[in-house]
Amino acid sequence: MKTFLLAFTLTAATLQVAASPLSASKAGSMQTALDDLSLALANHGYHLVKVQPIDQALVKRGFSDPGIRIAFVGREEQVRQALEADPALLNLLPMRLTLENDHGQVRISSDDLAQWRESRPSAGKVLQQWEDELAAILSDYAGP
Amino acid sequence: MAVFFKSLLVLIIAACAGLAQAAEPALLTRQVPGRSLDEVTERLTQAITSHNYTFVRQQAIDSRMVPVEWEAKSVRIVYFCNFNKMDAALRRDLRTTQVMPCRITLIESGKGVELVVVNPAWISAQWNSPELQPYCLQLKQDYLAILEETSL
Repeated sequence: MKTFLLAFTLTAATLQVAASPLSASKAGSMQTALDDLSLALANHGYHLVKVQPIDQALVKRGFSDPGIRIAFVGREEQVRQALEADPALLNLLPMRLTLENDHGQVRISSDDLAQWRESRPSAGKVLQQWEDELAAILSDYAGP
Repeated sequence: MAVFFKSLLVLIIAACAGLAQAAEPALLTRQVPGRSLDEVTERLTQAITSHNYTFVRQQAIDSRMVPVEWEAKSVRIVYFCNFNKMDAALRRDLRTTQVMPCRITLIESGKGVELVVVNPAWISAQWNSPELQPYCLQLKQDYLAILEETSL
């Protein structure tokens, strides 16, 4: 019985560790968060490509407000990097950030690039660079 | 002997967990030979609508990252969604934003157009959430049906 429990615990722990999207949060409105995110992106050579106002789209159709917007971000060189490293990476571009409004805090989180790094080791260097850049952007967004 | 079987059991369970993740491919692809990017985009838009999804927009992969005249002509992204499914998914778990809105990348080459989708069931396998996996498996089936219809 102990062996079973140990095996399941270890397996579950491994799966949990594998999923590790980046995130940062701070107090403010969704609009302030988008403004601050735009500045943080510009500081790191990124562009805000598009904001998908999921919250407004759902409310407009009679659903409740999930407090979610999705921002697509990127920089020019990423397409070339993806083509050189692994064309499958094109499917990550432009990169997605989720903004979640939660009681006056706006949390921004990335997709899980660790999952991609594990499955495509040959593109690991590029993916790690993108992940590091997103980490720096989110750190910039969160401020000191 | 008992220790050996216990160790073997641990290894089998761990391997099964790994296989559960590995079973889903990361990407779903479909080749549409002999057609242009514009033709396939038109077919894709029709397939999206016929499967009860709403077309949201299409863009070059580097749209707004480069001047319009420099945008890539051979790689395009089409976005779409189903608001009922989106609402239901967000009520379950906000991690589902990682698979929304739906998007398909179209890559034109000399042979035709390749349609590529990140498999939502592959993404959700990482979440270790039995509640979300059926939603992502259904989304995967919808993608496959849309890809199939586009490639006919």
